[in-house]
Amino acid sequence: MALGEQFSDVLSAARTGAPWALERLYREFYPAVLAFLRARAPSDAEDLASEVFIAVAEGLGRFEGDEDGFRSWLFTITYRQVGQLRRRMGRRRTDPVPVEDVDERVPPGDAESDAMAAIGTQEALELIATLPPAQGEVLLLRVVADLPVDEVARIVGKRPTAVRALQHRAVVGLARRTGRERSGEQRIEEEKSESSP
Amino acid sequence: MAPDDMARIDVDPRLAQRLIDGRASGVQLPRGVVGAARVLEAARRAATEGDDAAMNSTVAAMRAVLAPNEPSARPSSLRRFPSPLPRLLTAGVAGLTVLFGGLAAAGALPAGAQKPVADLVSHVGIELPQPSAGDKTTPKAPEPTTTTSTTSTTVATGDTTPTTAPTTETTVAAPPCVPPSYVGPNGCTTPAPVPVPTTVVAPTTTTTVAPHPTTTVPPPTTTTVAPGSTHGRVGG
Repeated sequence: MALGEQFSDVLSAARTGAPWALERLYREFYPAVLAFLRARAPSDAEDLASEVFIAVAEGLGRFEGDEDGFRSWLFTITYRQVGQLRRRMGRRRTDPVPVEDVDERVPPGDAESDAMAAIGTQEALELIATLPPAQGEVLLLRVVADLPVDEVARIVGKRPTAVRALQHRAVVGLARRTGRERSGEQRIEEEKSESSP
Repeated sequence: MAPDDMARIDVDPRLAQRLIDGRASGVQLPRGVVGAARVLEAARRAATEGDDAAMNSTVAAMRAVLAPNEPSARPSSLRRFPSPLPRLLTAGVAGLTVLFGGLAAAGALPAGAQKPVADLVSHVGIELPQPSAGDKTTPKAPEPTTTTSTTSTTVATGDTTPTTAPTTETTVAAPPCVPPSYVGPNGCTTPAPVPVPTTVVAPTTTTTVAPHPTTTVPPPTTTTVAPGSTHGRVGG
């Protein structure tokens, strides 16, 4: 639920440190930031999310823009926080998991659809985390942060066409990871043919 | 999953775009894409799932950055009816200031209060009456009887420069002396003779012209200034 017309009032009050306004910003944007970080830096997600919002507070007086601009600015900070964490750690904290390992977690075959229907948010984020980093980041910025291609391209420093290619490969990668899945129509037809004498 | 199965998964870029935008509902998804679509839906839900566990600490940290000196701030809905106590206190202080200021300006305060107030405001350029003027509330102490006598100093002959200034002594219940005698340390003293008085310095209260020399008794308390000196010294 976006803040909409209330955004400017909330932003003005937040600049003065009004707790109610800061809580509104938190409730509106924190879940998405945390979801992004859970997929990119699972073990440090909570701490990084707090650092992101402190950085937001530090830059709130200089921010100018609407709610969409704020969202883009927020995830620019989030994206950079992940990069800084990786530099501090000296290695990637979210190394891609081999596809074979993912296949062990996702039941194949006919039960796959039921399992995927019940997939939780945490499982979905973990599955996205198995994608190559560039694909995962683009996918998270597009889906979790709900940013348009151009904004994602600006944040990750790539061309919009490159972002579109990355998000396409990310969807394909997810499809591969979720296994052989049949469309409901095909499965129904097969079940009918199997049950018929 | 066999590699050949993976190779068969094909997703149209436009469909991928629709899946990411959340606009694929009602679309017949091809084989192998339904799972990916559900993962994306679950990820989208994650962005809206409330997590207030860290809200208090995060908001407190943000407040520490934005308003480090403010102990508390409440939503505007709670600030519509502020406490009337500060306004009442301010009005009370203002009323007392006007009341006692007026009394002080009129000099109607008791002496014990009027004088400190007058002294205090005199530092900022406001003159208020002192309690001694027209204070009817405090009994006055009886004033002692005073007598003022004036002495003049003789000047050596030839010296035309006024070198002495009259001195004024205040003596309580001084014995009367017959002029031109004056009260000295040893009682009434007759002024020293002045052969040629050239300068007479007038006192502020009484001007006494030294008479022509009729008596030659030099008073022991008279100071004589040496010629050429520009400053006199009062001896005695």
